[in-house]
Amino acid sequence: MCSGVGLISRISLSTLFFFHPFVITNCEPNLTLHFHSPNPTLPSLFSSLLFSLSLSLSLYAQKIMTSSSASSRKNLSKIACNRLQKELVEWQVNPPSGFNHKVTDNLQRWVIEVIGAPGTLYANETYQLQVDFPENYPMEAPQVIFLNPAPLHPHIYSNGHICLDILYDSWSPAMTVSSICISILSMLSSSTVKQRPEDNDRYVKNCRNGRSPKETRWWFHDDKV
Amino acid sequence: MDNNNNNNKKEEEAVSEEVAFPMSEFDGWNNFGDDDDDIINQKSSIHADEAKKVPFLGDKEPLSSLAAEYQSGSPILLEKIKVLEVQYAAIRRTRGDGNCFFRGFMFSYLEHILESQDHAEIDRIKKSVEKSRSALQSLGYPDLTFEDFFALFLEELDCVIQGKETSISHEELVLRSRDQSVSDYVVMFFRFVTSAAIQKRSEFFEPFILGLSNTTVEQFCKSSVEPMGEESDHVHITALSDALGVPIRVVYLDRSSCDTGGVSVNHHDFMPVDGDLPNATDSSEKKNPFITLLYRPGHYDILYPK
Repeated sequence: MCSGVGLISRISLSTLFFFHPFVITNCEPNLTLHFHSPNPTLPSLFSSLLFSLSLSLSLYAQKIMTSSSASSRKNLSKIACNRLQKELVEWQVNPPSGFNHKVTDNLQRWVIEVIGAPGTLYANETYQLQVDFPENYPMEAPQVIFLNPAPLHPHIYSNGHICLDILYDSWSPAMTVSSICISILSMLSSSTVKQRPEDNDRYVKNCRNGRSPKETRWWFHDDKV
Repeated sequence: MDNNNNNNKKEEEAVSEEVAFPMSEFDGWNNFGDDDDDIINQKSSIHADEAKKVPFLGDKEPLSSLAAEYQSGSPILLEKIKVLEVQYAAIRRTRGDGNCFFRGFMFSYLEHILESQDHAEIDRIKKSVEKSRSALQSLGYPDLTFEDFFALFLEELDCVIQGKETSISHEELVLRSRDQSVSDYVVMFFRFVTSAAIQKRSEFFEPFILGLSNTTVEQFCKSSVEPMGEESDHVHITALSDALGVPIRVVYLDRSSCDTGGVSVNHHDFMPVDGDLPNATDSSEKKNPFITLLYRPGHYDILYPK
């Protein structure tokens, strides 16, 4: 069992969302802790709306594509760039088996094809992982989600969010995209049932403003699957 | 394009949701898992508050500032601080972000090199660093995962050697230790070194680790050594001291008192053992620790002897 708990005060965000689909949900890290606060007042709503709009517009100006699941996309630091280039080269020389990365010129977002391992519930099925790297990767974890349709698995939500500790609290720079992929495949392979997490509907409903799974406070209490 | 479609769909849902759910629904959700959430929230806000108040590394303060913290507090602690004042002149605080042991060690070590210009020590530690590098390689860590962190530490080490174009002053060392893009990388370097040292001598560390966390040595390293923000205890300190061959003194300031009535302050010296001869404390000449850390439950700061 997994659960994603603790969500952003959704009123303000879904309202913003209504006005403007490209809301950046992660512009201020402290935004993730909150929520016993009362409803936002009208002025604060307006100012955050304006802030969000101007942020989004400036992102357009830079021609950076954002999506509903991308967090605030600052350019990669020099160290992050170097590290990712090395990971890319390593991947090309020695790709983890069962994965296929279609290399593009976008170093900051990798889309990786996952092929279910033979002899498992997911044999011959193909899924897509989207990996977004933060400015200070590898000090900070990448954001990893399944693109639609996400595999049916007790730790994978229908919106693609994955309940796996190494993607959040237990991330360390000793890990790589490749080692993440291997962990995810192993998670798929050890599954004995094809089903969604018990709290799927509630969690997904609360994520629909496009928040990143990195803003969820995850509870990890199952090491069997 | 897909994203756009998704967004539009979600937008519609968002609208209907606005209509469908009264406020109380949201409150209900927010109260889900209330107790644990409160604890997590509290912990997060402590971390956030701490970050604003304390830089990664504070200024050197007279030891009297420590006593001032406990003015209305425990008499035992105040007595102990008096004892400390006999031997120690100053304290330098570190941020309580779970990295305080490593950050305190980092600054204390580099400051010692900057002030002593001990070239023999620099040559010695560079050899230990290379041993740690080989240890990581033999444990199967790809070079690309740790080489940037190693390079940054070696660069810091070169910078504190004076008389070169790249030399930095004490003031600059303080600034760099407060700069996240340097400081966190050096902390991570020490985490790699510590993890390798523990795994290299896993049979030695195993009983201690079982006592702490009931996991395998490898799992302990993955979950309690390598991630940033994971706190350190004697296992980490022993491993780092051994791997780099640097003795560390830890002075314990807590409420414990001895039966005889007199107040004394305990300390423990972590003396490195030669990696090839576990437990052979006499194999290397005994050196007095030049790094002294003050431990208060859950936190390490730097102490300066008189």
